Amino acid sequence: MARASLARLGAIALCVVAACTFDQQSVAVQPPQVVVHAVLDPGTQEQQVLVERTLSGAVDIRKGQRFDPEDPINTGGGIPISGAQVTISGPDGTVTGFEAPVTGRPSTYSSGRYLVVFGAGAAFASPPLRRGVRYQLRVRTPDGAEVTGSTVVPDIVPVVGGSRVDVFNRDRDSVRLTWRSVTAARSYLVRIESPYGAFLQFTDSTNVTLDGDLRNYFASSLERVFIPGFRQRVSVAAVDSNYFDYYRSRNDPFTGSGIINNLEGGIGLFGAAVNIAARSVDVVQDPREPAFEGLWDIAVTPRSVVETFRLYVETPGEPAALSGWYARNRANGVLEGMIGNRSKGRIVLEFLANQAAVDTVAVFSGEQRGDSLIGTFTGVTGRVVFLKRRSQF
Amino acid sequence: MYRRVRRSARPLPPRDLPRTTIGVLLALLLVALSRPAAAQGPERGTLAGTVVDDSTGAPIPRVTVQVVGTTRGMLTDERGGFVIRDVAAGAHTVRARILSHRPRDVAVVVVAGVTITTTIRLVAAPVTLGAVRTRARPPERDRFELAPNVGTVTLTPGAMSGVPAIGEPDVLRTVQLLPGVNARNDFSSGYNVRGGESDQNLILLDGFPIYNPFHLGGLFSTFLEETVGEIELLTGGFGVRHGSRLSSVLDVRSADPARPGLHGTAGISVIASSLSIGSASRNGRSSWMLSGRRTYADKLVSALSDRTFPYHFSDAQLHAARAIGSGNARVELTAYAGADQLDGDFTQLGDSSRAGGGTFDFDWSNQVVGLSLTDVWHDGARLPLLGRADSVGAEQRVSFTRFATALDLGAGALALTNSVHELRAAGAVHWHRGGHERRLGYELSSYDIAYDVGSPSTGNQLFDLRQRPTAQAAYYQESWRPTRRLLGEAGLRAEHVTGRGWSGLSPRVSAKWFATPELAVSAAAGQYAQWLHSLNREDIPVRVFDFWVASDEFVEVSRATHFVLGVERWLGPLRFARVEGWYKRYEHLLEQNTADDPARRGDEFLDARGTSYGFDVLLRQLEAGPFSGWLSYTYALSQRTEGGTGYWPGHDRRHNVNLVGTWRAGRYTFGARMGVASGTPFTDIVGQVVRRAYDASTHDYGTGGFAGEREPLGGLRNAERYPLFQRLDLSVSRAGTWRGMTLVPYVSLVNAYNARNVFIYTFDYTRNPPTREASSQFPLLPSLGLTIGF
Repeated sequence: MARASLARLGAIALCVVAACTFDQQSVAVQPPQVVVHAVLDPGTQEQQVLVERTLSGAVDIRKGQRFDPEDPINTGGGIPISGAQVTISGPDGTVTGFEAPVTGRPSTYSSGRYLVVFGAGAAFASPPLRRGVRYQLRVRTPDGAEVTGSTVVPDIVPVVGGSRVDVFNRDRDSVRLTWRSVTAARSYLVRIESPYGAFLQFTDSTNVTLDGDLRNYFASSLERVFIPGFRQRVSVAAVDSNYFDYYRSRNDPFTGSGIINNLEGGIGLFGAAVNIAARSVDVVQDPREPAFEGLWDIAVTPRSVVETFRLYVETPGEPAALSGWYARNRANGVLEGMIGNRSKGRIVLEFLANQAAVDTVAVFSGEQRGDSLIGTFTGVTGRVVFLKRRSQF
Repeated sequence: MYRRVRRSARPLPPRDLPRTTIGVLLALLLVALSRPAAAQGPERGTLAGTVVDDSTGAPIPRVTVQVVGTTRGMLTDERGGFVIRDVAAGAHTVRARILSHRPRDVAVVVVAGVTITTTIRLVAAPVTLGAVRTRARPPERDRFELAPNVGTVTLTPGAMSGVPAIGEPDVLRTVQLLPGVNARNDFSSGYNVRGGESDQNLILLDGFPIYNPFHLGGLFSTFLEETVGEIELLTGGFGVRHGSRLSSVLDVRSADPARPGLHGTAGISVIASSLSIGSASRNGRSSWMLSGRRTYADKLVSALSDRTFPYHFSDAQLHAARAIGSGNARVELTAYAGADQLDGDFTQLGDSSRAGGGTFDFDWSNQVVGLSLTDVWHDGARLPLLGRADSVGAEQRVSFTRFATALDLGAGALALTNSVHELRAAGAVHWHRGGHERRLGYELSSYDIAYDVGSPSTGNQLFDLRQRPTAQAAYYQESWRPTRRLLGEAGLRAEHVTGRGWSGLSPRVSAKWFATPELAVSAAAGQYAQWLHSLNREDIPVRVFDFWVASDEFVEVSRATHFVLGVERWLGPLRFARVEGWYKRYEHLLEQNTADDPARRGDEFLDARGTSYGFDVLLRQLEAGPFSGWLSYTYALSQRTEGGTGYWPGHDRRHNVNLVGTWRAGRYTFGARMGVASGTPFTDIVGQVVRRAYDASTHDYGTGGFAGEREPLGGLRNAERYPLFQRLDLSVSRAGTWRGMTLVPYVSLVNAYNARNVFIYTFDYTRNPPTREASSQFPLLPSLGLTIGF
């Protein structure tokens, strides 16, 4: 990960020093290679194997789609390979995978996402996925390419994420996780979901303490990991060496080399990961601007996009970063995340889906006038007014 | 035989060197500096002064100043100063001569026991070739006649000042234009010498080591132009005095002010402002110079806007020298400190969407402090084992060098640090008799190297390395001239490095045979070792910073063997041509292993071997007269093999031509540089792969809407070549005077016709057809500045 950050720094330096570009020209379409992502996870019966091609310039890639975990390749900027034979072999035999359907798509739809089901009911009679043993992956594509790999699943019972959610004041609290050492685990991956992308860090230790002020060095502007108003999941997974090698390495932008690839015949990963610790936290912080922060309710709007939101000044200053949660419908209790900024009195709020900064549902622009926020939603005609509730602190 | 005498020789009264029964080894530690007072009796005085241009007032270096009717004389230094001691009291005529000006005689009266100071003003005149005899010769000619000088190039500030540059002249940028030297691209002031990697070059400041002497990620060097007295570059086959690097030695020597009274130079350019002040004592026995420089773009941006420019660098350098006693003993102090700071806040960069952004701190710094003591005894010495000598010299050096980098992202979210400390003691004793020189020397270095990567915010240490090796070296060298036509030099260097427990012998020989007084053939061969290595990958064209590690139980000592054969022909007193062919063989070249496991020591490097061969051509007109410059051409081929796979290293450049010229016409000086070079290798990008992150807590890929990043896929390593590089740089300056100060405004145009030289290609395989776009090296870059001499 240090090398990954250095590669990012090199890319930044590249952008800085080579601001002049010229001579854009077409180049030849390259022969594609097979890419496989497969991670054995004893916490689920359905093992996912993603089979796709490298981007070779053969087709235009659709960008800007909303990501769908059921359809990760198509919605994630990839080219799926359909009709592949996917098998995982272990001490109890071989289990064959099938290409998973995508809700709302026809049966002929190509997702490139294969499910290899272990330990299902009698109808399938598949053996269970065992821990501490070696498995072999084999993927054969319709055009005859074959990709193989092997891995050992860390020997630990997976922890299922509980329903308990703690309030986490990032100004005063820290998140501490501990776990026991795991046989066949090469490393432990600490992962924190955040609106600016997951924070990932490998550690060889069996404990970690995460300060509320922690910054995400994977985020484009080094935003903080913990954002007030968001429910964020903190998890630790025991991973094998394939997983560790693949995700700690990356291809640098200059030479296109660097990924540690343990597959034969293709690029990617056949590894293993076991969730061994997990917590969810509702992130809050101490007040910074009571006159501005707090609960805001919709008062005037031509169409109800957001009924209520809770606003925090995530980072004071000029410009100031804003965050919080919002509810489209106060009645159903479902809360989503919100980010924004305030610069020279102008306020922009982005209401998110899936708590992801790249997945915006609506954007509000306006200004504060006393206890009112007055503005408009992008793409929607008509004035919008939010009223601040009286102090809740 | 050529000898390095720091001051002009002057006669001394006869004395006997104290006898000692201690062996030769103790002679290395002998630094007897006290001696009887010099014989400047009541009948003699000293004549000092400065030679300046009559119209501009600018000091003129390398003027022959002679007391007519005596053997007393010398060349003026870079500041036009001269000091002639031991002149008989009374009336004399002092004659000053240089090709570019009319000779002038000045009447002086020397007073016994007193230093008389005078200023000699010369009028510029057209150069006439013919029977112009000068007593003094350029140092290049001395080296040609008196030493094998294989692969040796010297530069003076006069040579550098005429080379167009961005802002002020830059030492390393000028070095990149010399034969055998390859600059990877416009953005790097690092360099590769005769096919060697960029960390194989030993860089010295007054003989003291300095690491990574670059600013702004390699755009500029740390050497302040005003402080430079002379540069010597040894591109291969160098002798046993230098070790610890495989390819080259660059020795940057500080200027030594000779003019009494406080004087200096202030400079303003588009990059930085600098100030240099210095002085010499009236008796010429001591001098000092202090210089400083700082960029000011950050201050300007802050003053003129509400934005921030997060980068600046600053340097300071001190050089002081003092004669001790009444002989040739001399003590010198050199100190340098420089720092780069790239500290910023993403909130202040870009628009309001970056609100909430974090801070980044990227700092690196260099410090060097060194002390040297030298002495030379010229008369009848007799040393044990070595016998009678015409002169004996001794030198002792001690220095401390520090280089450190620190990168912090997000106030402790990720932190990398690397530091190298080197404490070095070195010394030598040299014995001369007739055309025979013997030199016995030693070098002791103690290193402290630290390399840390971690996340202080999470208490996670990702990598931690601490090394404290020492290196010891002893060397013996003989230089002799058995016949008028033949020069020879042979030496043996013995080295030992702890940590690795490595010991090695490096024999080195060189010879020169004169077919005629103007034509000589030279040859050299030698073995070299290196135990400090940069973790930089040579394939990556951007050299952001170097991480240094030492050879230890896991990391080999790199070795190289050089073979050099050359011909040099002088075409007049100030012009020569040289062709040198070379072949280099490398073992245990170390390349960063991108797949290294941070939990495992010993896999940080991959072991490679390789060869480089080629030839350099240099045609040079030295800096006297209205025109000077050089034409250099290098043909080079480098190959490497690692793990059974052969490849071209990233710095392999087949052809490299540089034409550099400076014209002085009255008050104006015009400079030009035309560079043409064939492209260096690169790895073609043949596709992109989307990396998908699996989350074991949700059993899904790409949660939170982040599907995965696209990363480039490289093809065959370095199988492609960038296109031809070409660049024309122009500059003009005009010297004037105002209220006793010399004002020299200058304008330069780098890449005068805006040639589009490819720095790197970026590819997009997400569309059909896929595309490739070039990022350029320097565009047309005008710059201007002003130098004020006072």
